[in-house]
Amino acid sequence: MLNRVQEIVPPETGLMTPGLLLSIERGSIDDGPGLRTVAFLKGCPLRCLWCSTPDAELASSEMEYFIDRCIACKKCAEACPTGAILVSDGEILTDRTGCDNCGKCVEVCPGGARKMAGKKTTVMEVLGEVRRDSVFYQYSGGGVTLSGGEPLLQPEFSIELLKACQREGIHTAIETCAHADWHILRAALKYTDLAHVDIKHMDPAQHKRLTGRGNSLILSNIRRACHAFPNVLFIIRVPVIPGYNDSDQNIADTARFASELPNIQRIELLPYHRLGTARYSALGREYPLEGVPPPSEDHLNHLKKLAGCHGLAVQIGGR
Amino acid sequence: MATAVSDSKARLADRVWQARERVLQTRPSIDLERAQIFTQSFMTTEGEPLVIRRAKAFKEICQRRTIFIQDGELIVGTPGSRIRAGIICPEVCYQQLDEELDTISTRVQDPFLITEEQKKLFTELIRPYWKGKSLKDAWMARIPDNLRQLAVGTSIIDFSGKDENGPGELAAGYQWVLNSGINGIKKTIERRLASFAPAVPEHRDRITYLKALLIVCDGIITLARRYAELARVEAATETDRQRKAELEQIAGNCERVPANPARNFWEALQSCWLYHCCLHMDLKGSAYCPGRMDQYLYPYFKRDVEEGRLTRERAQDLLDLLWVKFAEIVSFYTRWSAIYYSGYMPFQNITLAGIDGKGKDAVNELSYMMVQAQMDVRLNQPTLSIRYNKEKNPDSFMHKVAELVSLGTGNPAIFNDEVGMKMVMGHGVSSDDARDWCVSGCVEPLVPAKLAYWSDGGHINLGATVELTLTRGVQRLTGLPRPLPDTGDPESFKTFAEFKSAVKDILAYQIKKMVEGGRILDQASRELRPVLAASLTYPECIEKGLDYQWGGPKYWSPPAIVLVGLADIANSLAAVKKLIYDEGKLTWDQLLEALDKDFDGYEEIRQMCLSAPKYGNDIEEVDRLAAEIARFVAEETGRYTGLSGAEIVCGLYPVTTHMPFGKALGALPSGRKAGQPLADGMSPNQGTDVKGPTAVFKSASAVDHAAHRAGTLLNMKLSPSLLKDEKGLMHFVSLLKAAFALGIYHVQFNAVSAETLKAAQKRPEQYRDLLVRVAGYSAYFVELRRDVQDDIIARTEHMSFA
Repeated sequence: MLNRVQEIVPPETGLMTPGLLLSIERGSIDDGPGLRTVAFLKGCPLRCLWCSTPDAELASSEMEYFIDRCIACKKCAEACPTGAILVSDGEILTDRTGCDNCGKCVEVCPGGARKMAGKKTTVMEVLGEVRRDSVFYQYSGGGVTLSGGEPLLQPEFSIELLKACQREGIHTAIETCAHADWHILRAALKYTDLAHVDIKHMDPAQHKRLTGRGNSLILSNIRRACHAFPNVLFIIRVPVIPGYNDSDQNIADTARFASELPNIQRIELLPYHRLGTARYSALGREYPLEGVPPPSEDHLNHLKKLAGCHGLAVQIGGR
Repeated sequence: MATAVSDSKARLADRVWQARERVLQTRPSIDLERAQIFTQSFMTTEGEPLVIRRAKAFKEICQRRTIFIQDGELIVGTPGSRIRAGIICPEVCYQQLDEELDTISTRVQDPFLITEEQKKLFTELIRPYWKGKSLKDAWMARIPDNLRQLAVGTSIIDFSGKDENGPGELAAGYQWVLNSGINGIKKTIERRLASFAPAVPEHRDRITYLKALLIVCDGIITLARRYAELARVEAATETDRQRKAELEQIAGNCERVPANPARNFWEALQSCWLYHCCLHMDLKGSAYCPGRMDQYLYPYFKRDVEEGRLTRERAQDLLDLLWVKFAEIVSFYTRWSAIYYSGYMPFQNITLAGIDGKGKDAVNELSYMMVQAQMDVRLNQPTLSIRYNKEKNPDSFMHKVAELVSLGTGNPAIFNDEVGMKMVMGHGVSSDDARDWCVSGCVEPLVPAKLAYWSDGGHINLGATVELTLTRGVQRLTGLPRPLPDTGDPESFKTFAEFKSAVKDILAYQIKKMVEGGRILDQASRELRPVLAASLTYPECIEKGLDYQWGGPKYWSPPAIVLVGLADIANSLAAVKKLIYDEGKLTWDQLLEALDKDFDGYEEIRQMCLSAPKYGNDIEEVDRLAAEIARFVAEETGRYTGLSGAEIVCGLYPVTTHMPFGKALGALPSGRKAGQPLADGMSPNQGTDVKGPTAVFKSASAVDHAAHRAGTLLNMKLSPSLLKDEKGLMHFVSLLKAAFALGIYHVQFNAVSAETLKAAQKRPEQYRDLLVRVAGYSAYFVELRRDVQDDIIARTEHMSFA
């Protein structure tokens, strides 16, 4: 897409850095201060059971099928080169094992029932989108937030984008699980004003069970980052998943860990929600946490109080 | 400034509650008393000048009409013989009732009760006298056939019921009444009269006119005196001591005002209100707007509070009671017009905040209390507007405004102060006078007692522009040909530019016919419908001896032309450009066939149309088309002048015409199905803006709002969670500031309710834009699983009852 950035900023190699984008959301009020544009990048090293953005997990593009938009024109079945789309009794089924996510069906789908999660982009293109809301950042103290997936899984792209935004005077934030090579995290933090870092569980074994990976790299990265970047504000985010990581002990351990670090602005307890479940169906996957209810307000308040004992500010939600 | 009334949330005085209930329990009914007295008076004044006849009739209404004082009232007066009375002005349009005499009480939209006795009165006295004499008769006799075929009952263009109602949207000089009293105004008239000489031919009409105004003054004073007498009589028999004292005070107030200058807050409110009633009695107007009440009432409030005569609680009660009085007024519309102005809407618009005459922040304690009154009373009238000056008005006031927004009543409308000033200055208003602008009708900027015009002079259906270009002048749903220039077979458009230019040709023709009709209506109104009671408080009307309707006010513009369906025309153009000319995915044949069948059996084509770029998503290629059409209309209307010689202006707001205009239309290339509503004002088509509010504001900012001097309107849905905490309020205010920095003129927020969410479950297609946000995550409501949707509905319901 052409946009004004091309005219204003001289082309530099960094601006042409390619990336794989899930989506861009504008006017967000939950991803850092002010009104923000959030760029969700594809790919994540973790596989959290409760993931609300399963379409961001894979580092490659994936076909999503939203049945409520399907008009059953069957064009997709005709277009599919691998024969993975089957029509039976007027119902359209996608055989995920036969689908190689080539995107041919998406191209012919008239109603947008089939979409590609993951779009090739460049830093320049995303910067152009980010700049569209400059006036809103100006009046609200907002800016850009890189999220995902895990932005650090596309290090060149994320770093160049953060750098480009800072150069334009746009406030930068990242939302990261910190499961990345320290050198990558360090390079990204150089161009970051605010980092939201997730701690899913303090116990290494539990962490591995819930996310597929241990937490030692994550915790050591957080420790190093807080010491190395006194000018960056850090917010520790804990997704509160009833029955999985919401024990008093885990929350207290997390708060204690955070309270021993410099530069932590606060802890945010993010209540588990089920808004992402439809995306599992669109990807043809089972939702692993079926039947888990969101945490009660009482329980959240209890955890907030508990975490607050360690001296840091604690809030419920990400505002 | 801290809000003085934040503690009053739970506190609503019994009498306010009672008055509110009375409004809610009263079904609107037809009121023929004014029509009867007016007609009887006219029978005795044959041969006299029209203005004298009108003045005498008005005075007689003041002398003879039924008056009453209701339980617990502290401010008295109604324009009709009952509350919620639909007053008929037969001299304007007796036909209003004629055609619906037997169906008015049972019609679907805005029914009115009517008695057999009233029907008899109408058929025996009122209709026979006015037949052939009304403004509507004049209009029907004067419009040429080709205009009639285009404008009457077609929804291609319309004249906003200006042939059925009183004058246009107006904001009279309430402040002058408060400060000088009717007696003071009378003295001004008498002085002016003395300066005219009967021997000078051009003075004669002016002398007659000013004499008519003097009769109107007497009428107003007479009416107030009658209320005073009634209050005295009721006080005499009242056994409750407190109420007795109140009635005596009411009597004292009505003896004093509006004849004389008000001396305190209570008198000021009473004075304002009785004058307001008189406007409605003189002529049923489209929109009588009290304007900047927080400004002109403030000195009375301040003095009373400082001198210890008035507590803030008492002042709030008085305001709340006045607010209920506004809701006691309903407007009578014909079956046809009721669809356009549904909800018996009298459009009494009150404007708060902005800047004062010296350019300083005008927000005062009353501004907060009037927002609170709207929160307390929560009825469909008055309409509340905020002039938001983002540089000067304090955030704390906007937080108060946000509290009101969060109630989900759709109130208030928020206006960009700077753009509003620019708009009125576009009418030739001086920069000093512009500082006093207020909102009238829905979104139209006026200057009280100075700038006059029908800001809602009529509407152009932009969806019809597209349809009639494609069908070469045939309305798809009726199959009837309409007199329009033939722009040729769509197949013959070799390029998109040719198609666009054909669309503009049709649009230019619609504008031309609107101008033609507007002039006829304006002329007929000059001859037949002077507006005496309102003109009385326009100082220049007295100075010149000319009525509001004859160009008396200081500034004067011809009827404005209002566009409806900007998004529909932009989206239709964009879809044709993309699908036919850029990508060649469709032929004209295919598209026209699909439109003809309302996409029935052509769902694929419809989906292609729907996936073309849509206005409201900050997409330049379609926003540019919206801007181009808007500019074309502004330039095209500006080529014409009205009777006053001034340029004709245009606006972009629908009132509620986007509903009937949509009903009259077949399918459009935008993907919109037949009969669906058009987009309202500057708003995107329902459900097509999927990138959130910042993108909507960006799209809307592609249009030069100030060039649409009759005003622009932008409606926006607001996620229910946004306003729930302090941070949300801050974001809300910064969103507004940024939007206004982009040059947006007006925005009205609809906090999404549980009802909306339920509607979205039923018709997901129309609610694709509905975002649900929770901490760090947002999703489109319609894309959620049903059980999750139900959860959110339950939560929203809980919130609104909390």
